[in-house]
Order: sequence, then C-alpha cells, then structure tokens
Amino acid sequence: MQFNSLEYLLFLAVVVLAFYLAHRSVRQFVLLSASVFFYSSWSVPLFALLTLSAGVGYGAALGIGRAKSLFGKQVWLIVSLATNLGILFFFKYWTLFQESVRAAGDFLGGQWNAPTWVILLPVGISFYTFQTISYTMDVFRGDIVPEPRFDRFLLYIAFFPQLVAGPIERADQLLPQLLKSPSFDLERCSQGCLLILWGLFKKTVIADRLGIYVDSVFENTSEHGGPTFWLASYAFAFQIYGDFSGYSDIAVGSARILGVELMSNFNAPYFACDLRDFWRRWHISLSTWLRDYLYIPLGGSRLGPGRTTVSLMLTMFLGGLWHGSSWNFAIWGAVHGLALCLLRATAGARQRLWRRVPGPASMRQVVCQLATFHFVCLTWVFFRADKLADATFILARMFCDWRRPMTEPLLFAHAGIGVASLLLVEALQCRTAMNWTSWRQQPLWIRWPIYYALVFAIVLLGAETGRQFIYFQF
Amino acid sequence: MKAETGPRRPMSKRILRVMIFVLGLVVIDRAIGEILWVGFQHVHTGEAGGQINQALRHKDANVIVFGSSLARYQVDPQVIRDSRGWSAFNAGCDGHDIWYARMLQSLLLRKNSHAHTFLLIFNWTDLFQDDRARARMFAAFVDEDPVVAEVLGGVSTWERIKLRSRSYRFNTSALSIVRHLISPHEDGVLGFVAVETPYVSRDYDQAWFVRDIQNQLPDYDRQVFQEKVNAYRDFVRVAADHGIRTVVVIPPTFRQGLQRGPRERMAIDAVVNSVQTAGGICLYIDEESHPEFLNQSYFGDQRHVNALGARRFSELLVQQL
Repeated sequence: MQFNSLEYLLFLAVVVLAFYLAHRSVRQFVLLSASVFFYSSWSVPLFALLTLSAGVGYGAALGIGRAKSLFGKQVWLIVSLATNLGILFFFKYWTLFQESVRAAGDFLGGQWNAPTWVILLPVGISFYTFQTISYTMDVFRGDIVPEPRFDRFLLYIAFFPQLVAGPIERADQLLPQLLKSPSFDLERCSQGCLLILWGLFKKTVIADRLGIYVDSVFENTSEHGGPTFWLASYAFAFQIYGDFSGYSDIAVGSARILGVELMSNFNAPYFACDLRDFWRRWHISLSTWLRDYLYIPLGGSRLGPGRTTVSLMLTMFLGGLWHGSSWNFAIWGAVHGLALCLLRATAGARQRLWRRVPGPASMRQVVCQLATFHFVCLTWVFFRADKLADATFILARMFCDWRRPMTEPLLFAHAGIGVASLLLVEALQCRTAMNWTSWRQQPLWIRWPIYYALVFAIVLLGAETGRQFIYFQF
Repeated sequence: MKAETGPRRPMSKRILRVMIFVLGLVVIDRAIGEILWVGFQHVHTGEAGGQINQALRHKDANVIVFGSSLARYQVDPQVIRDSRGWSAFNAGCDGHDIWYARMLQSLLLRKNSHAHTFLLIFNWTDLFQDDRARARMFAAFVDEDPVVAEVLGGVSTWERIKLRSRSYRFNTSALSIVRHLISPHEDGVLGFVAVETPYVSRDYDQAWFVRDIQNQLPDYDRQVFQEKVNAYRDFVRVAADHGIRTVVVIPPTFRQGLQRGPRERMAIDAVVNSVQTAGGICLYIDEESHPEFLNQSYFGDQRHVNALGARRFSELLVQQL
C-alpha cells in the first residue's frame, strides 16, 4: 500500500475514524491492528520477521532491566544487537557478501563460493531494526526504563506511518505518545492534512516527474554526454529530496492526525552552507541515530583529531552502506566522510580566507550554498548509478564530454513548477521562520487558493507512474 | 512545521468550512475540466491527445490505419492515394496498439466515419503487456464514449473513481495542451512519419524476438493476453457492423536470419484465428512471405522500416487490398 495512493488515504480515513470512535482503552489495539494490516499489505510472513526483531529487542531490554551486573546487561545488549544486525545482514547484505567473496576469490585465483540464495528484502527492515537497536541501547544506558508490555512495544516498532521508511523514532519520544489517548482536534487534523497534501505534491509533481528523466539517462549511460548527466544529477537531487521528504511529510501528517508527533526528517537541506550543515538538515533521524549510537560511542570528537577522523569515516561509510547492498552506497558515504574530515581540518584556514573575500555576507552565503549543493549533486551520482563503473563513467563524462544535452522541455516544465514552489516555500521558512500559527493567521483568501493550487497541481501535474518511494527499498 | 494549537472556533462552523472547501474543490474541478476540454479540442498535434483529434478530423478518409509506431512509420497514405485513388490517414501512435485502436475506432464510428477499410498493423509484443493505463490520453473522452470508459476503467477500481474528476482526465496533458495551442507542430504527412536515418541496431540482444528464441522472455499475464485477442475480435466485429472491412497486417522484422520464436508464433496464431473468426482479413507482409524484407536497406532498426521500406511495404499492401 503506497502512501501516494487512494487506498492509503482511504485506509488512513478508516483508521482515524476507528481510533477516535473507539474507547480509549482499546485505541492502542486499533493502531496496532492497523499497523499489522498496513505491513501485511506487502507481505504477511514478513510481519513475523518484524515481530521477531521486536521480540528480541523487547526481551533483551527486560533482561537488561533485571540484570544485576554490568556483564549481564552487556550480554543482553549483545543478544539484541547480534540478532537485529544479523537479520539486517542476512536479508540485506548477504547478496553483496557472496558477490564480494566471489570477486575476492577470482582476484586471488581461488574459488570461494558462498551459497547462492535469492533473498527478498523485507520492506522497512533497515528502519525497524535500527529503531529496535536504539531502544535496547537507551535501556542499557539507563536513559529509559524497559517497556513491560510487548503489545505496546510492538506498536512502537510497527507504528504504520513511520514503519517502512522512518523517521527512526527514539523510544523516549514515541512510546509515551502512543500510550496517550488524545481527543480529536480539528486544528491538529488540519495541520496533518496539509502536511499530507504537501508531501503528495512533492512526491507526484516533483519526484515522480523527474524520475522519468533520470531513469532514461541513467539506464542508457553510453548515449549521453556531460551536460545531460549534469541535468540528470540536478534532477535526481530534487527527485530524491521530493520523494523522501514527501514520504516523511505524509508520515508526519498521518501521525499528527492521530495525535502523535513524529520528528521532522528534513530542514531545507539544499540551503545548507556547508556539508556539516547539510547533514544536520538531511535525513535527520538517521544522522542523529548514527551520531548517538555509532559516532559518539566510537569516541566522537573527544579523543583527538586522529580518532575523530577514524570515527567520522567509519560512521559515514557505514551510514552509506546502510542505504543499500552495493559498494556504490558505501563509497557515497565514504566520500561524504572524507569531505567532512577535510572541512574539519581546514575550518580555520577557510575562516581566514572568507574574511579576506570582499562583498556582503549574503553573497558568501550564496556561494557556500551553491558549492555545497553541487558537491551533493556530484555524490548523488554514486547513489543513483547501478554500478560503480557506471558512476565513474558518468563523472568522467560530466567533466570531459560536452555534447549537446538531451532535454525534455515539457517534463522539466511540469517538475519545474514543483521545484520552484518547493524552493520558494523553504526559502520563506528559512527567512521568516514561518510556522503553523503565523500561517493560520493569514486570511482565508490567501490560504484557500494555496490549498486548491496544491490539490490541482497534484491532479494535473502529478505523474501517474506508480513509482515506489525510493527509501522503501532501503 | 511543528504542531501548534490555533484559535478555537465552534465545531459547527469548522464543519461548515470543510464542506464549503470540498464544494469548492468540485466546482473548480469542473471548471478546469471544461476549460481544458475546450482547449483540448483545438489541439491536433502531440501524443497527449492531439493525434486523436487529428485522426477524428480525417474520419472520412477511405482508409484509416491503426497501430503503434509499426503503423506510423510504415504505411504511407500517399502511396495508397496514388495507387488506388483512395484517401487515407495514418492514425498510428508510438507505443500504443490495440487498446488505442479500439478506443479511436469507437470515437470515429460515433462520429459516423465513412471509411471503407480499417488497416490494423499487428505488433505481437503488445499481447504480453498490460498497457491500459498508458492510453490515458483518451481520458478526455470518458463521458463521450462507453468503450473509452470501459477500457480506461478497466485499469482498476481506483482509476474509475479518479476518472470522475474532470481535471484528472487531463493529468499530464494540461501543459501539453497549452504548449500545442501556442505552438502547434505537426509531425509527418497525413499521420505518416518517414524514417530517414540509416539502419541502427538498437540493443539487438535485448530485442523481444531474440529473447523469445532463447526462451528468456518473462512470464506473462494470460488474462491480459486473452483480453487483447478478444479486443482484436471486437475491433473486427464492430467495424463490420458499420460496413467497414478490417485488414490486420503482420509487418516485417529485420531479425538477421532468426526464425520466429514460440511466443511470437502463438500471438500471431491467436490473433489471426480471432480476426478470421470475426470475418476480418489477415495479410502477411513480412520477411517470410516477402523475402525482399530480408534486406537491411529497408530498415531503420530491427522492427521499423525506413522511408524506402515504407514505400515498398505500402505498395505491397495496396496490391493485396
């Protein structure tokens, strides 16, 4: 059941109705049933896998809570980590592992054959295993107490708006909210509906439209030159942003209607002034997860520049690999890691350089934003290309081959309206700190035309390609 | 945006606002749909529906050609006119086959077409693909023609619901309508487009007829297959009901010596049987019946003849009509 489908809107309407009509004592059951139904629309058996992951996390947390010694707590923590990372490795990385073993064997002249299995990747596995891991680690650290009831914990893991592609929620934020029984609030419902509308706009008008062009370029790499690849990389930058932030908005909006506040996953990332700023604005739930559960435990920035570099590189490398079973993603992460390390190392020198550059601060800001955006676009090539060889081929052409670009004026017109609207809204949010209250204070004759414009933009300009959300494959 | 509470209003006032908003949606939907429908009727170019209008303009041509790019690049109406004195129009549309043909046929007949022959250029790969949704450029005619409503509504229940929206019928085509109103650009002459480029072998190993021989084609939906075979039968019958004969033509493929594969033979046999049972005519103007089409110089790529090949194909076609 895709978020951008009438089925989902009907499903959400039914769930909202059932939730608010139900007695408060059974509302959690309503949400859990809805979540089971939602996930089962992809695969009934794979819900069992989710339950296993959640069950191990739940049991391990209880064990940590009851353990008398540090060693006991560590054993339970390792059980949870090993199980969830093991599940993730098997379902997501086994294919990469066997291909790498085979390639290594060929390189070394031997014949190392790992068993060849075709393994289905369960939807949302990267998200719910990380959510379970974060819960167990928070219990281990003493930040939260273990949840005694399995049904409540399962709801925390399987809560349908954020189950398949995040945001990756922390237990101390989400669990208490799920235990409450809020009253129906039309204001909150309006906010949720507007977020869903905005998310659908980004997904169908921007992401799916641009995806048509991006696919036609990346699937026929030998036929295109540098300018086409530049256009495609810009297009992909907005495709992936529109797709993922659109999904996140629908998720946050759906949860908000049900009285649950999920974390914001994006904050105008393409307005970032440098790469550190970008990672504070892009996929915030993942970047904070990696910071809190990987980077800081590895030492963070507390143990000197050498250790910081190692921690940062490892975090970004694994963060890249998290996205998919391909060395492309790992290299994408590593390139970002390298750039972040370089930025750290040259922070002082760059400050001194900027002070000497004439011109207003706003001009320097624009230059930094453009530079960051272009760096991110170049690295997206690794993210989107099917193979590493394709990525290097494309990057080479981007700088060496200047034949006439392939353009799709009508498609760009469709998506351009969406991209322009998106950038305008985000610029307004950045400059004016626009929030719901200030928006609601605008008169009806301003607000309603915007709502109507969004609806009919989706109806007239939205691509009906049935394209899955990009992050569903992670 | 974070959740924030707003000013409190009575629930009844809020519900009234919601109802007014929804009513506004319906009114604007109808208004946009009407405006775009008027604009659409003035567009006669482009694949977002303009080609349909162009075909309807030529509804009284003696011979109307239907099919995909296999029709559009292969049947030259001028050859038909020069040889037989019959007016002809090529209504072929790239990427569209029997569903497009059925819907266009229905619209033509509803407008009392005076054609005496419908030529339908057969594309065997069409039978193995579910492409109803791709023919959505006919959505503007959903209220005009029951065949269009049936074909497009057959995509899914949700599609039937969405087609109730007048604006949604112009999904993807709205900007195209505006563009073609501002700057109309007609491709080809009488619908026919000649391929002037030299032969290019496009991904030969991935061509369906190559993979068919190697038994590497993916599995197909039997229901879709049968629906399309039935659509050919219906096409013939409906035409016959209006006194129009239907001729289904099997075109040539440049397959570099390969024989036809099992799927291709099955598709051809099924459609030939279906067409002949309904009283239609099947013609083979392919490389098996006309070995001159073993010559690469007649082709622009494996499946499409070039301008020279189109002339020869059209001459052979006229001889057999």
